[in-house]
Amino acid sequence: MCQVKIALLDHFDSFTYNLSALCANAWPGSLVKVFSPGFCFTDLHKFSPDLIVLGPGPGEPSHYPQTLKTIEGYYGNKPMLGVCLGLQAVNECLGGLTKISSIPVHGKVSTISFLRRLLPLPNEFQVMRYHSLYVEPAKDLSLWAVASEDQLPMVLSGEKFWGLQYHPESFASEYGVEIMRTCYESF
Amino acid sequence: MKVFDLYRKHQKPFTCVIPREELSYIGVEAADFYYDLASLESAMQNYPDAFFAGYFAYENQLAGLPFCLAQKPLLYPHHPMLWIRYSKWVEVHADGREVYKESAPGESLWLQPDRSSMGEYQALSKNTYEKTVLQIKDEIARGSYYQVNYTHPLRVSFSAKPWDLFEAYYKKFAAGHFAYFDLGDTQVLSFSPELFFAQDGRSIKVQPIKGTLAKDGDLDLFWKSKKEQAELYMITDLMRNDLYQVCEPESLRVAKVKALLDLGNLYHLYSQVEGSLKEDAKFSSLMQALFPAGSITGCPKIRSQEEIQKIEKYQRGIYTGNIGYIYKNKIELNVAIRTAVTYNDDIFYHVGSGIVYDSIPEKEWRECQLKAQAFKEVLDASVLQK
Repeated sequence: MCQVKIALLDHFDSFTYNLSALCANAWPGSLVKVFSPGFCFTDLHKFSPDLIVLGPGPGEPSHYPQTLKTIEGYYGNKPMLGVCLGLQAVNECLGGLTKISSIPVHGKVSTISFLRRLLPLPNEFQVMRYHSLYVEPAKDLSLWAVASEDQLPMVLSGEKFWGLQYHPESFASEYGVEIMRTCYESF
Repeated sequence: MKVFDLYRKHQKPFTCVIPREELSYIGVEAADFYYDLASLESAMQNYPDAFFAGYFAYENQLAGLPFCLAQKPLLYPHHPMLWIRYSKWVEVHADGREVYKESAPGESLWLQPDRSSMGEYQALSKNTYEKTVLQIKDEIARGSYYQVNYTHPLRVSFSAKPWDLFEAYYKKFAAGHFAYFDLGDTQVLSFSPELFFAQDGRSIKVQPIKGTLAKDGDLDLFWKSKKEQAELYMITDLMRNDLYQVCEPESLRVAKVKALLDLGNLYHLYSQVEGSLKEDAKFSSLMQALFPAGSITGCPKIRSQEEIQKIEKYQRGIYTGNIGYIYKNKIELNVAIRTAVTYNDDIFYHVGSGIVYDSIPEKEWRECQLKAQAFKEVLDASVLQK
């Protein structure tokens, strides 16, 4: 497998290195560089990533102006994958809304079900969720999967973009490596 | 138990006892004191055969936070971290065999801890506690964080011998990670059931504890509870995150996803994550990646520490820091919960619990009381009354 250069945008989360390890697992020999809030854009530009992973984190997208600026600069040009807050940030940049859900699901395992096949992934599997906010998708995003319990959007795609509301890097999520590869290979 | 007889024989200021079923240690002759990680780490290199024991308090520069943790009032004087190198110690084996060990004598001095920020103790009311839990839940609903470990100190007047209390507790209740330190003006009595990490060469394991049930509670419901499981899973993912920074990524595994810990008076859930350290991982890099333990901060760690700084009135001190020993290629540190510190005529014992969105304030308050029950029971026992 060719070497993949991945820029991972951290949002002061406690799962960032799990996501970084998942990327390393999905693409052995890949180069993962973590960019923490307040990072320098020139560094990101010089790094010239093949994939930008927008990580999860506490709070809401507007708390991370660097991330929003990165999305504005690279959306549609560079392959992007957003996890949780990362998805919410892209969705907001495209005009979608972030809303407060009636029941937070931090640390809760759910089944997600796909509305259409995303081969080679099965149609249903278990995932770990850490969110109290959810996306009302922008019209440019297509919905692929929802959580069986509350029907909230879990997997979405856009132009050179995949967004996961759940946490593929959790030990309690199934098919973490597979979904990362499937998303990247679709670009 | 032999270790208790031996303690009585050898006790003097700065003696420590780490009682374990397999192999216990008694630090007898304090040679050097270390107050920062860099000097401890160089001593570990300079005295590779020596026995070190000590603690990291919760308020510690290791926390690497953009605010000063030490601004809050202290309940008892202590150093942010204190490690002792012993020039004489005793190893007590499971069969009762005692082995006397020696290392180079020392020269560094005992420095009195700073007392300038000592504060007056005031008990936290149930009402204030419950209001704060509701505030935490509001923040969780807004997405500010996912879990916060909210704690408060209890104070009891105490005039018995700290060692007698330690021994009485040890004989009556289980806890895998006991430790006792005599630090002159204060004594630290740790009845911790929780392992922070154990390192043996390049192998490392962590065992975060989350979820609490009274012994007479419904074990079946507890085991199936999504709330208790969520608390544990969250911290398990957090510990994986911290370990990935110092471990070979492919070596990391969740060896126990959810296991039951029976302490005699209550049950807990715990998990176990294991891995192999990177070749260049030093003790200091390990501490920087893992400290403070996720089980006593909440998740995400930085955001929950900020919240703790806001909602808790006093410094936590040694409570929720780590106590343990370093010996040759082995390091064992507990998470200093169920830990009491004596000072003047008082003994301080903090309690707390992980607050998640499903938390019910009244139940969390009861959980805090429950965590003090064994301690209070031993304290009230007639044997300790003068």
